[in-house]
Amino acid sequence: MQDTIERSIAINAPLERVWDLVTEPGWWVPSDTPVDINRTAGTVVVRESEKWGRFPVEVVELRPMSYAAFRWSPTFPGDDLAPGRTTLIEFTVTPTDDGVSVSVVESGFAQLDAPDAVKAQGIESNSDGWTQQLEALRTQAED
Amino acid sequence: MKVETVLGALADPTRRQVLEVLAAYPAASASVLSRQLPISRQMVLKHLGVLQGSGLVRSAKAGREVLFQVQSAPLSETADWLSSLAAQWDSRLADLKSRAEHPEATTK
Repeated sequence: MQDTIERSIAINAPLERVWDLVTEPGWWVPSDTPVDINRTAGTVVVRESEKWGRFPVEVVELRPMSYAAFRWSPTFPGDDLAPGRTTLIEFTVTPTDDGVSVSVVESGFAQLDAPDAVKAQGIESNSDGWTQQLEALRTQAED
Repeated sequence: MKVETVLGALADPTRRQVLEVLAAYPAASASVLSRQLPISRQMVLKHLGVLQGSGLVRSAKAGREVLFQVQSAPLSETADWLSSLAAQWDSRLADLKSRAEHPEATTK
């Protein structure tokens, strides 16, 4: 079993537009408020929503119009990026006859620390989510 | 003791080999496995310990021997977890596609 996920999609749009969207750090994480877009390598942006939680995303490397890499912590929402907690996300953008092909490779699941990674498997991650939601409800109710 | 994840345990090629050889038996001792592998019984035991820590292998005493057995549930759970993560990427990429192809419509 490999510790990487690979997916791709064909998009019928100009390369520049797709590139702008793909390189917005953390575009795949919902954010309730607008986030400043800073594409400088090493920058960490934080995207946060009430529904999914807080996710810091680090810009790792950009190669204009072709490749963008980010690091995030998929199974430790709320925590800052630390060794043993992050995976690498690599987007490759390739021009095609009628648009652009975007591929994503997420890797490093084998290096994730166990306890929370194990939690992410199966039912416990759901119950965790519920615990958080109930906690939020409790805090609101007590205010 | 560091609890190993299934993927962490499988990251090592020799350890994968130990698991594959063990899977051919209903249950086997480290000595039996080491005869099928290019490593010593001590090394086999070390790898079995890691596999056991991740839940991929279970051991039981049979007389003076310790027999090891593959557990398939953690493997299929991990495969399910990875495929659910892949499905999330499919929906994120679909969202990216619609935002790129229809920039006038603001999707959230």
